[in-house]
Amino acid sequence: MHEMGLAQNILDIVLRTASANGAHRVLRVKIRAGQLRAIVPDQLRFCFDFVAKDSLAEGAELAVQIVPIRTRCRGCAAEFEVEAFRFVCPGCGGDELDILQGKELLVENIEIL
Amino acid sequence: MPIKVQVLNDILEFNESYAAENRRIFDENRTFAVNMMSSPGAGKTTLLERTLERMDPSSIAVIEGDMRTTRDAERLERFGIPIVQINTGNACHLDGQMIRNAIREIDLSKIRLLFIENVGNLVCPAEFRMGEHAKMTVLSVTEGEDKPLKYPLMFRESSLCIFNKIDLLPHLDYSLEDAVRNARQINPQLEHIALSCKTGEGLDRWIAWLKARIQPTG
Repeated sequence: MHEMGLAQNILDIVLRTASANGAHRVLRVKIRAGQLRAIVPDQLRFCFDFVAKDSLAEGAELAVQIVPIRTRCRGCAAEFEVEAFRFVCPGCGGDELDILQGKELLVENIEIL
Repeated sequence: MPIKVQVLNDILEFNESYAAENRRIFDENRTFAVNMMSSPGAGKTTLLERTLERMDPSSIAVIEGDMRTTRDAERLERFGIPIVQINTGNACHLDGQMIRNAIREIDLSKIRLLFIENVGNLVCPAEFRMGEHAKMTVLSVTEGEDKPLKYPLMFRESSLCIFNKIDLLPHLDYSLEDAVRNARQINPQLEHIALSCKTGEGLDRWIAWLKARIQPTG
């Protein structure tokens, strides 16, 4: 949800970075979104295309990488991917887990001309 | 020749910076801030009424979030505590900036416990941090046992889940055991308290949970 607000935030970050680097066009924006953030890439792309009209980022490709939830078990130090929100260690059955990956929501990089 | 520029900016940086500022202000004032989330009608406001009847209200404040009306704030007026009602219009959740503005209207130096009653919604509030020390979810037993599996982020983010309206259990085909098991599958660390705002059963455990987290005045 809230893809429109996120798209606007992405545009702000992209234009700030583009301007700081003397760009006259943005070709591509790479987003990294952890699975826990429940982002819908198609919706995000649609909203970004809409807000980016008439800006340096108009027509830029929005590449969205959804990264899985990765955790480390505090009990046995096993690292594993969480499937279907089952937060239980497959090794020792422990449930004290540190989340290594899966909560991020970033503009990773942009490609400019 | 296109150039790739590394950015690594959090898309919600704006909200995160407000959340961090709110947290700093809460900590400076020794205010424990709890974000109360639930579906509409699960019983957040009633729980606050029962809570304020049982605790000394002199160091408690409430921020009420609703899309429309001031009805929830009005229900709590009789306790004489600082209440700020935020009407979000069509925003379906509270965010860091809204809370930053709200706390300007409260003298937090006197407040040890701040309840932030979020907009009734099982989806969006979990996505937005506001600087609170703890998130909690109120789940009515009329909502079915599978809600934690359907709305995992909510239960993942919460430290406490209150199962409310247990007075209705004789009228329902509901397994509290299954509901708790589902919630703990999503978040094994989740504490839970089953209670009834109508009969008072279980409320003492909720009050104890709060008191364990409040810093003394003075």
